[in-house]
Amino acid sequence: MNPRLALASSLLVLPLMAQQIPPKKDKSFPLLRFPVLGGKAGETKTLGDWKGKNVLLIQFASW
Amino acid sequence: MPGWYQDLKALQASGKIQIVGLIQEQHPERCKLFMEWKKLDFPILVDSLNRLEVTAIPKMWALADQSLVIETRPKMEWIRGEFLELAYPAMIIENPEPKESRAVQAYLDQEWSKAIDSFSLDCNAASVKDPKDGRPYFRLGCAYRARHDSKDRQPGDFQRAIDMWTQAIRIDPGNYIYQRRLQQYGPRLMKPYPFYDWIDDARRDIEKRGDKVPPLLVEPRGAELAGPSRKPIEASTVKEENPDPEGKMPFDSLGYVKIESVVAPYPARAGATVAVHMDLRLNKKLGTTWDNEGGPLQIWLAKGDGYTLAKQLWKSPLPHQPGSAENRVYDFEVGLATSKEAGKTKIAGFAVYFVCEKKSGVCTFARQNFSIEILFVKAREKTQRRRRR
Repeated sequence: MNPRLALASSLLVLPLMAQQIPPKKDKSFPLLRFPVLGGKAGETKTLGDWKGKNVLLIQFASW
Repeated sequence: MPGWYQDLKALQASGKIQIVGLIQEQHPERCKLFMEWKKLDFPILVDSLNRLEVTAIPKMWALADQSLVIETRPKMEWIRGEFLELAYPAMIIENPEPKESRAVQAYLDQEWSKAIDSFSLDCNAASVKDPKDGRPYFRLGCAYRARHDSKDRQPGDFQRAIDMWTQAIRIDPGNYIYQRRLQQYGPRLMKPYPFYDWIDDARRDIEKRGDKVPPLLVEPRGAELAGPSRKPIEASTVKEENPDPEGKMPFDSLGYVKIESVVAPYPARAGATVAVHMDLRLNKKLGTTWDNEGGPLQIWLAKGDGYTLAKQLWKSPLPHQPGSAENRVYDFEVGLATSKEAGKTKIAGFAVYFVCEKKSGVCTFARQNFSIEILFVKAREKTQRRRRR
């Protein structure tokens, strides 16, 4: 069995998944609310807006 | 378009993954220009306060079903292979959306004064409970700078932002994000590279393509465009002419122009170089405008003990139109003398300018004196290396 699927299966046994700051492997990424670049004033999102998808989150800077 | 994005874009188009960007810049709209320039098309979340508490970038996380971190440094081969095939059952997340602090919520709501008040309280609490926590100072700096860039700007906001970021770094000198925030506005000696020197290229290339150039809310200036330099400030040997050596020009008694100066970092360190940002704003109540036909704005800085200037006289470039109402800025650097004790130094100077007042229709020239105070802590002591036996 894929070891990662095994890990996920074992995690199902745990009713709750704690979020971790800063984010760490095999932990839940914090569902913090952030403004959206180019969005309306006050518009915010969490990663929950992409629920059900595998997400590649890239933190970078334009400098 | 960057090569890594070409690879990932195809995967995103297939619907198998979603790319999401995350930035922590103080002026996030600059990233929008960057995205348009490089033709990057994915949603970007903005974390100017660094609530994720990352200590370095760039970073990449592969997440399953919105939040489980599968990999922290995913390789392209793994992304194309295993990651695309992963399917996880839905997670139950504890406290899915934690309640934000009052200060953070105010910042997200762009209520800058409220954010400043709340982060100030956080700083007071941290000074007692956890003096090693630089986070509230960093975030207070972000809030001050955000208010400086808004219509609610208060005099001193930019300097207070610098003060708070300097404090955050004193507490947590290894924090990359704090360092970069201050380096952006600091002297060339502090800079690892030029931060925003790409902006002109970006605008030109986008226009050439016939696309729309995203506007910037805050234009980068001097220090943000300058490249690094490892040379100390050297006084110029070129003779410069004082525009008003005997002080004969009439003083600006009506307050046609407001002058504000900001020193970064602050407090400085004796023997170091600091960046000085000068802002000259017209008095809108008087309907003041620059009289460009009269001559350029000139700033004269006096030489003095305790510091070195590369030049004493600066003349602003003149717009083509006879009158204009823009804010004028002048960024320069100062080399501080070494000192074993903390102290302060003052740079005396004056500005002379030609202005017109709308109400009376009068155009005149005027002089305004100013003094730039630089507080410094004592120079770092050189540590001596122990000889190996």
